[in-house]
Amino acid sequence: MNEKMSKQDTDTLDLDGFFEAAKSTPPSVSSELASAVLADAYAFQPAPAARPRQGLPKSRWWQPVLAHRNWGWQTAAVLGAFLVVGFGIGWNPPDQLLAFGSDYGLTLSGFAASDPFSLDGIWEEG
Amino acid sequence: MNMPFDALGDLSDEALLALYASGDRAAAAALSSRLTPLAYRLAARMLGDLAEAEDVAQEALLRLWKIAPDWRAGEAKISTWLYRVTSNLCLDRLRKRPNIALDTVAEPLDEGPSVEANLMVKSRTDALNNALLALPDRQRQAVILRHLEDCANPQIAEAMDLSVEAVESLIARGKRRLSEILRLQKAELGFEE
Repeated sequence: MNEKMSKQDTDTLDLDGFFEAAKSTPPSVSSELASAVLADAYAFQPAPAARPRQGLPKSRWWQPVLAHRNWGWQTAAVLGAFLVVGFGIGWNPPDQLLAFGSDYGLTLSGFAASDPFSLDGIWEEG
Repeated sequence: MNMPFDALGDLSDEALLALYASGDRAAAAALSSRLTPLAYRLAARMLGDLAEAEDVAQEALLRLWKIAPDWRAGEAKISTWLYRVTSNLCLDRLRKRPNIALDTVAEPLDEGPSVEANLMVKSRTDALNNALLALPDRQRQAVILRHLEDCANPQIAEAMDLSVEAVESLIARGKRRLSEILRLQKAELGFEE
């Protein structure tokens, strides 16, 4: 039995040389096969999942207006200037404006002298 | 987002397949280049026909791409699954072949010009490939997976849907038969008697 086993072991051990030779020269994949497999992979690949919107900063309506390449900030600056001028005129109206208002039966009185934030009685019927 | 191809080399097959299923094209390329040789080598040695082996390898990989979105991580190794599918495709083709005597299928695999520089290695490889073709299909499959693909017996058992003991038996019988076939050629192939 031992003799038989040892002869068998010797027989199979000799195969290692064959296996090593075969492993050192494996069949190599042709470029045609590689291309075909990759084409299949792309063809059956699911589309990328849409990016989750959660966590992104909220978009404000005025952001795209300001970000407009040609007129965004310029427009904002002009509107800001008008706002300042308008506030200045309202705070300290020129005489011509008061005369213009009185022509139409409107007078502005007591605005600067009294509570500047009170709107009561700004316009009175003349 | 696609990961750079170079960054994918260290990822496991399972991680790459998950990336592939999420639409990463670099993962598709990495998996293709990693797994195609596995399927092709096994098919070439099982079938002894390179054109048929290419068809089988492409079909096996195609099945992997199709099931990728439904792959359940942790249930099986991808390489084991691929060996199983490739083997089954080969066995299907072998069953459809008419029985051919060994001396008529002794068409050696074309191993490329680098092998021609080493005639002895080529001769041994051809002799082994021809001897493998003389084995029963399941013995050939087990011997190839164990000794040419370096799979562990439990992995072979999973790929062949057999017990480990059955795999060991197949390998032992296969190697005995290979020894009988190759014994006569040992001297001319450079092995000492």
